[in-house]
Amino acid sequence: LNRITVFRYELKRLMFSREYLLLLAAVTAYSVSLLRGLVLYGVNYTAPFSLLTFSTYCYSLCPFFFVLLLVLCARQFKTSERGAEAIIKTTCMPFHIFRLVRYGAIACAYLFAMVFPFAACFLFYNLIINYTDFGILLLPGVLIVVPPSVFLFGASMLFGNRKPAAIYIMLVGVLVLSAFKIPLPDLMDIIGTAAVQALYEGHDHAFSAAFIAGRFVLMLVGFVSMIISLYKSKQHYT
Amino acid sequence: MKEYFGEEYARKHFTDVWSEGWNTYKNAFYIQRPEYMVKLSDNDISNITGSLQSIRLYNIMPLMMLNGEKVLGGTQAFQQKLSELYLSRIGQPVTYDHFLTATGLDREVIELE
Repeated sequence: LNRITVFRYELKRLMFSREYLLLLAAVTAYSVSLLRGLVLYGVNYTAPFSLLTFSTYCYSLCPFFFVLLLVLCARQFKTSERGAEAIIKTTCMPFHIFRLVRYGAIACAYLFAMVFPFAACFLFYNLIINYTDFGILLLPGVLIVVPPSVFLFGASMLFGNRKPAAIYIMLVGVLVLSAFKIPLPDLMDIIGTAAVQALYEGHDHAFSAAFIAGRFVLMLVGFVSMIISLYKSKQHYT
Repeated sequence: MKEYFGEEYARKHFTDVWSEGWNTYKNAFYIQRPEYMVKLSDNDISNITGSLQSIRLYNIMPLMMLNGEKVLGGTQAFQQKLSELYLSRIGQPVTYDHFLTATGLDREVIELE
């Protein structure tokens, strides 16, 4: 079985799924409303392209991104998908390779959804503010969004493989953390609440060392969980 | 407030808050770079100027009053002038010019730098 063919098929299944399209529309609509209602005015009277404003924009979008990612992961552990595992295992493609291809498809679909609001923001800066120096903002944006995404992806693949309900528990956790703006310690600040709060209060003009170290830890834990989940597949059929 | 709750309370909850508002206003992006408002819609400009106007009214104006108080020689003297202004224009609108004429203050003297 050609890996590229499987990858394309999985990507197409994800990107044309009802959940993905609905959440992508929600992310896009929310990002547009943030651009019009938050970024344009600048947070705390700073520039629309200030670190504080852009970080707040990314931080506000984080719950939507994470819900989208967890929904994509939860799809992999539906009863029908689990039933198909028995058939997939009879093919010539090793099952961990098939899983890796699926991870790649999820990552691509997620990246596409993530790039969309970033591109909209940069286009907005270019058209409305004539600001083109996006490079400075890209790193903080990536730091806020990517490491927790890797962590949630890895954790949901690892725990979802054991108990699919774990993904929904994580989803509730993300929603509670973001809805109540619960600040976590810098090292495990998944949503980025504490980091943005520190920027807002003007304590620092950049992220703290603990926050950056925490991002690396989240990435590492995420990748390790992903690798473990590739090889530790629970048998769900007899 | 100074008389009711003490100087420390008044400074912490009022003067410092007004000064912070003044600093925010001075450093506000659209105050420093008003040329960026050119491309915005009338509605957006109105929202931005409205939020800045609230800082002018509730933070900058009280600080200007404090400046006027210092120039006139203290709270008592300033309140006496305000009382006279109130009684002279009772039931009528009071403009900034009326205030300046009644207190004998100059715009330049009380304005913040």
